[in-house]
This record gives sequence, C-alpha cells and structure tokens, in this order.
Amino acid sequence: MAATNGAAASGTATNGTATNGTTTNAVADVDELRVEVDRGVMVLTIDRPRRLNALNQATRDTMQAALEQAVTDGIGVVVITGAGTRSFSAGGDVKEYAASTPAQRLYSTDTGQALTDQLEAHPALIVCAIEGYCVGGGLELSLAADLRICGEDALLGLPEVPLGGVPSWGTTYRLPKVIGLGRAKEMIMFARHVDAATALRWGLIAEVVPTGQALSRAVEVAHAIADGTDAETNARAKRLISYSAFEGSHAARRHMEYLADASQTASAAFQERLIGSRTGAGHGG
Amino acid sequence: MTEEFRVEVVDRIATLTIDRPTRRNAIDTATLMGIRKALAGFGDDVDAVVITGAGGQAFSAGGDVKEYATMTPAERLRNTDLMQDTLDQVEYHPRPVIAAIEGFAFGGGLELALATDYRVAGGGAKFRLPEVSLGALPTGGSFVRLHRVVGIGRARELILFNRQLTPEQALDWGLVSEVVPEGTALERAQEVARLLLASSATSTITIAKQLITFGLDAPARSARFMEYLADKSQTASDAFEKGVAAFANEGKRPVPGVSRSSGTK
Repeated sequence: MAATNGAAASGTATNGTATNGTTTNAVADVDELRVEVDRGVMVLTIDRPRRLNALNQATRDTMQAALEQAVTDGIGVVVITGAGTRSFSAGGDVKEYAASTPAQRLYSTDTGQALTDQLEAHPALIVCAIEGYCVGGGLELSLAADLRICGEDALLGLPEVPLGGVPSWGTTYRLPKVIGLGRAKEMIMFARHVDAATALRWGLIAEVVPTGQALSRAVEVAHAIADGTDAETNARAKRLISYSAFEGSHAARRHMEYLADASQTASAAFQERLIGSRTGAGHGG
Repeated sequence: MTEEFRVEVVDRIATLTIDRPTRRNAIDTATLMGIRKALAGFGDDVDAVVITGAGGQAFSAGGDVKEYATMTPAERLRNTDLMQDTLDQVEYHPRPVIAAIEGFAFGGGLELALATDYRVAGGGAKFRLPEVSLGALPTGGSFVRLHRVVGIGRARELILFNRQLTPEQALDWGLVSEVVPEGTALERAQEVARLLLASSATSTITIAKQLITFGLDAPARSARFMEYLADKSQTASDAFEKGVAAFANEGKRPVPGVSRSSGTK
C-alpha cells in the first residue's frame, strides 16, 4: 500500500458487509473515533490528529461502546490505530486534564483502567497499528492489546513521571510482564523512550514495518486471523493467558488449563482442525 | 560501620562503596549492616543512591566464603536472613537506587545489583551465579527477582547452568540498562542519578517505584486499585500541577528523564 495518510489508506474499503449501521449508535455524536467493520474485523481510528490523537474522555467512552458492540456482533479481531502517521496516540488529553476537577481526574483514571481491562479481557484479538508517538496513555492502551505493529519511526515512552504523574492505566503491572522488571523500571521511573527497533528487540512490539504501513499490515494480519482461525478458540487461549499465566496458584492455573482443554477437545473447531488434519501432513499435535 | 564500607553524600546523591578490593568486595556481615544503616539513615537529605564496589576489579564477588567457613549452621542461616532482608531494603527503598558495576558481579553481588532500579555496567563486567556449582543456592532473591528481569528461561540458564554473561549479553537480556567503557560505570551512574533528579520530582519517582515493586506482587485487581489510589494522591500534588500546567499551557514537552550516551545500545 502506498504510504499515504495511514488512516485514509486504511485497508477497510468495504465490500458491502461493512456495517456502519451497527455502530452508528456508538459513534452518533463523536466523530473523533471512527469505527469501520469489514468481514469480521473492526477498525477503530482515533481521529484527533491536531491533538496527536490524545485520548480525551469522549473518545475513550466511544471506544468502550464500540468494543461492547464488537462483543455483541461477534467480531473476531479489532484493530486500533491513530489517524495520520505522526502519532498513534499521545495518551491522556493533558489539556482536558488541566481543565478538570479532581473528581473528573479520578473518573478519568477509573475509566481509563476500565478501558484497558476491557481490551485485555475482550474475546476478540486486539491488534494495534502504531505510527509516530505512542506515549503515555497511548502506550498503556496498546499494552492491554494482544499485538503491536509499528511503523519504523514510532517512538514509545512514558512521560508521566517527569510530568508529575504516574502511569495508571495498568502499565505499572503489565509492562514488567512484557519486557521484564529492569527495562520496565527504565521506561517508567527513568522515562526512557525507545524507537521501534529497540522496542522490537525488547519484545515490546511484535513487528516493525516501513513508515505508513502499520495499519495496512495490521489489517492484513487481522484478516488472516479472522479468516484462518476459530474465534472461540482464540478467545479461550487469550483468556488462559490473561487470567492464568499471572494470577492465582500454580495448582489453580493448572486446573484451569485442564478444564479449558476438556472443553476445547470437545469443540467443533478441535474436531475439524486437529482431528481433520491428522490425515494431512505433519501436524505436531 | 567499618572502613570497608563507605558512604558519601554529594549534592543529595549518596554513593555507597563496598571497599574490600582484596576480597573482591565480598559481602560480609559488616557490609550488610553498613548498607542497612546507610539506607535507614537517609532522610530528606538524599534523593538518589548509587551502589558500587571499590578498585575496579569487582562490583562484588558475592557472599564472603571465608566468613561462611567460620560460621555455625545457625549463624549461616541468620546470615541468609540478613542478606534477604537487606536486599529487600534496597528494593523497597523510597529513593531510586543505581548500581555501578565493574568486574565481577557474581552470586550475592549480582543479587545485590538485581535489587536496584538501574544497572550500569563497565566494559569488563562479568555476571554469574556460581552457587549451585559450589553446592549452595543463590538465596538472595535470585528465585524471586531474576526471572522478573530476564524471564524464566534465562533465569534457569543463570541459576542452574552456571552461565557467565559479558556486559553485551547482559544488555541484550535486559539484565543491565547500559554498558559504558571500563572504569566509567560509577561516573555514569552518578550522572544518571543527576539527570533523573533534574527531570522528575523525587516524590513522583518514589510513588512510581513503589507501584512497580508492589504491583508485581499483587493480584491485578489490587495492583489496579493501587494505581488508582496513587493517581488520586498524585493528581492533587504540586508536581502534577506544575508538569501538567507547563505541558498544557506552554506546550512544554517532557524530556525523557535520562538521555543515553551514544556509546550505549
């Protein structure tokens, strides 16, 4: 895809199944989050380029509603991106923050946490397409997603501590699990910002593509998942990772895996894919 | 405090030096007591702590085996207890702690470094946990902190397979934050402390450090509530008002706290 404006060039040219109608209610009065659906893939575009796609309260509320809609509609993969190539998202909207009352700021923390929890617990796989700045709340949001794909000029960092704040949308406990405790301290306490190549080496992101191509690559990956895998199985595997890899006792985790396997081996997807493929070549089983 | 353990405070940055170069800065009981006493004594006069070893040959080669040899089993157990508790003091200390590592960071020396927040290694640094090969166990937090830093697979390599790492490998694994030319780790560690304090308020650094440390031990729901409570106090602070106001009204962008020298990866 030509490296035009990443959002305008989104690979979601619709083929008649795009159902703006299903999401109209969610986006009725906020046009700063664009919602597009195409063949089982929902693309959410934070469209506030003049504010570096900062996540103000209204945009986050709309995103939360769109993600609810995705559950209802059985969407298998959600792609989140920011309009333009300058910024995925600069995080919480500092201007809005500066004008907020203490109660509004706390509401913002609470709903920001709820949004990242919603992403982590969402049955769909969440893919972030990141160009330019992915800082503060923008990085926090993407950390709750399942896959991060970056344009090569992306910059990832957490400026909260120098600004007098702390990252509070789940990053203080999610980041060490992704990149390790030492590097998490570097990014949070020492506010180290990293480029896409370093982020890839650290395992903070999954893939680097030429600038301007993060969205098209994310959409390509999303359709490959939506077309080639079973959404129920994906959702179950995702839950096992989110809920069992880091929580509870070893015995409880083991039993959870066992129960998941018991239900999985009885599922249609298992029968079709694994048992069916036994006759094919070289399945590891 | 013995003369084998030194504490100097310059411009609100404390430097703790294990000064037993003929013993490769092995950590004996007196060293542990020195670290505890120093950390407990820092009040509002200290904003950051650097830990290093004297002589350039070793950060620390680990526990003092000569001292062990003179101990009864009961004394050895008390020593293990003291070591664990002292390294917890380092990890839980409210101020940022930075390790400046030249030469050997073996056994308990590596464990001490793991309890800090930022590790700067000189080009001649060596990292290893030889305990298991010696019939002992690295019980100064290697089973608690190491896998959180390098992942469980690599923790197994270090603990079980006695693998020794070069500074470059340690950097690649995320075991250290920076590699600098041999002999300059202390200088760089003190610079990192200065840059950090110039960019961020001490109270904010403290709350961020505690969120990371205690959040990792908590179930996600509790960690999330800790973040919420931290935000509640932080958004009412002077540091927050200043930072947010400067950003929102003057368009002043925050600078990354610690810019890195070009020689580091």
